[in-house]
Amino acid sequence: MMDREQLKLELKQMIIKECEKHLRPEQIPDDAILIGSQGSLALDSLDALQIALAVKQHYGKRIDGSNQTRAALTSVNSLADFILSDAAP
Amino acid sequence: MAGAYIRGVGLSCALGEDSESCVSAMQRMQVQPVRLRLDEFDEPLLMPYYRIPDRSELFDAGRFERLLPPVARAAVAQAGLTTAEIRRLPMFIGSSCFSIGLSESRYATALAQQPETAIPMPLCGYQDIAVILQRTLACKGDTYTYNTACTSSANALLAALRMIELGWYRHALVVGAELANRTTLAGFSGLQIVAETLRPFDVARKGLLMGEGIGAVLLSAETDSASRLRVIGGASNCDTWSVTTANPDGNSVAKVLNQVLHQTRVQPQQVRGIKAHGTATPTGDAAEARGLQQVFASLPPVSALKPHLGHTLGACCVNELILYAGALLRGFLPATSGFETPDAALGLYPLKTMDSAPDGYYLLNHFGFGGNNTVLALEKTAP
Amino acid sequence: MQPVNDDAALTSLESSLKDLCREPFRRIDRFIQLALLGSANCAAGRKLRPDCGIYLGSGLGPIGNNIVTQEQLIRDAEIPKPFNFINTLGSSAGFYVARNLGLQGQNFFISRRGASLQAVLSAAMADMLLGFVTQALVGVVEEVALPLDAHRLRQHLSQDILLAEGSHWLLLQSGAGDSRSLDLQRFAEFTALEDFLESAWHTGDRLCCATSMDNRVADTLRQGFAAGTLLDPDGAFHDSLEAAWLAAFAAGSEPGNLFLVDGHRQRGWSLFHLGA
Repeated sequence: MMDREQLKLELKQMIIKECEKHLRPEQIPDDAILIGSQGSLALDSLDALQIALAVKQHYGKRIDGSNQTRAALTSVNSLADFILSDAAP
Repeated sequence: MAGAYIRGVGLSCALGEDSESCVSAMQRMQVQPVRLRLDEFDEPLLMPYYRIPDRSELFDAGRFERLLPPVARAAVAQAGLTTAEIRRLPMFIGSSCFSIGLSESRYATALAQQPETAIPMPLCGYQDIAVILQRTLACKGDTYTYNTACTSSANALLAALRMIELGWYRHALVVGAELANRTTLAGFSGLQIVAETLRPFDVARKGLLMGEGIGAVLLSAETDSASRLRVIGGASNCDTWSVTTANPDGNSVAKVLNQVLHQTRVQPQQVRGIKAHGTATPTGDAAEARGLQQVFASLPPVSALKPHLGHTLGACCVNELILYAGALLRGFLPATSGFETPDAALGLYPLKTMDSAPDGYYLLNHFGFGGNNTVLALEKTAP
Repeated sequence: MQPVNDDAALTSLESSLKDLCREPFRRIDRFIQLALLGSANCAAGRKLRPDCGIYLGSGLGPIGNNIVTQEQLIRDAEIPKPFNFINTLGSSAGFYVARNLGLQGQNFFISRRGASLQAVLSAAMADMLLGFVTQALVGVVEEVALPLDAHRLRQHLSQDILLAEGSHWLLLQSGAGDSRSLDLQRFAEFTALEDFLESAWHTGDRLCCATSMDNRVADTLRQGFAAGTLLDPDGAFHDSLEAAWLAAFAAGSEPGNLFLVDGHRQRGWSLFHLGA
């Protein structure tokens, strides 16, 4: 079973890399809104797709347009929950 | 602007392998996409696809060389140009993919046979369509190859029109070419804008469906007694709102529509029909609908043609122009299959059944990635 | 224009871009970076008109990104990432150039492989002559992809050719009095072109022949106007070298005219005339 803290760090590093943000992982709060204008990271829907593809490639879990999986991208916390959940990939 | 006459056309798309058959098939609303399956990925890629009904396997490397020449020959033959005129005929080409399918095939083969020396992107691409067509036609004219996503062949046509207007050329061959390839299919799939069915301007629209198609239009400064269609103007802009779409508020779409009307001195109420871009993406259709609403107090009949042949991307202007023009000459405006339920937010009701096509002015819309917008104006005159 | 000598990593453009870009653009590839740099340098200190059009040409386009995308797709069987896919299109670079300079007018990507300069320049001049734009940013961008030997093979070049990257831009404007003039003339017959050059030529003028021109024809012209022939600066190559020559000449303070000839007896001749 993946360590949750380690996973959150990996996810932050992945977001930084995929979206080319000049940030350190510790600058991304676990509960910060990721996507959209209310988010502190100023990521858009294309960034969301980029992250979704990376999640599929690294962790085998698919995020698509459906409401259940799209909610996974709300924050690093929700993304970690989604990856660790028992839901089918 | 004096404009340029459409003197010849050639078309090969999901509807058929010659332009007349394609217009007839569109009239009968018969053609359906095939089911495509790509197995090499983690999960198979499944989508409907509008393929050209030639007998070869979809990713056969020879299709690029085989399918381009007949289309160009048809357009040039219909125009009745002399050998000398053909020799110096300029070509204006629009494509998103060029020879990428061939490149993929060669790279895959090299990887299988000699992975250490395999070179990705073995073909440089942009000139490949021009090279084949010049060889086919024994032509040595100037070439202009446009790669502006879905407005590629629209921008190519605009340039041809303008250079004919200037007197640099008397005739021009405008070509749109798009053939099945993995980059395009997988790439759009990754953007999650591919739907199961195509529903332009419908409240339930979920995205586009792709198709392949090769079209050629021979434009001429001179009319012959047969040509009743003239491209009379066009305009283009790029609103840079997003890399994938124009601003959904429709302002940049309205701006380019107004530029064309102003340029051609046509009033909105004189427009007899609009060939929409209608990709059926949520934001794309919104931008188009809102732009149209800003310009037209009362909308003329709108036809979205992509349900007939799929979205042929860079080639869509030339392919859809030929279909729309063919319909106009037969006296009808095409219906928009796939449109069922209007979206109240858009207030746009494309034709669900065919309507008649009087003489007069028509507009053709094209909107691409990056907010690149191009609108063309056509005039149909009595024989 | 920047020669690339070996397979060490290409020179980073990040710090130059920071000063020249109005926003920190993310998810852009090297081709876009080169386009941003060249266009921003060209437009620096100039007032760009709202209708200023962008005419970007390239022989190979975003080849670096296209290589990465194809490797991931074909070799690794992965779905392309959104930005890799979007940036396979030549128009992505034009999008970022327009964003950076606040332009919302026409925006075209045009290629004619090794003669892309002539294609974009012709398109821009056609639009200006008809009055569709009164200002045009015309550029040619060529990127080098590593490894160099593969990049030469891809272009069917011999392995001793020195490769270079380039981002060459001209700002054209209707009616600007204090800059060099630019004219385009077209001739159906070679003799008409020669006659014109004879009448227009002054000592100190320069001639260059398009790299795509037939060598024998080019030599005929060069012999006739030997005193003014323009040579390759250091023998480095990228598609559309004409763009490097023209941009360098336009930016320099050499007196005299530059004449760039392109064409073929079967389609006629184009003469681009950059005035003194």
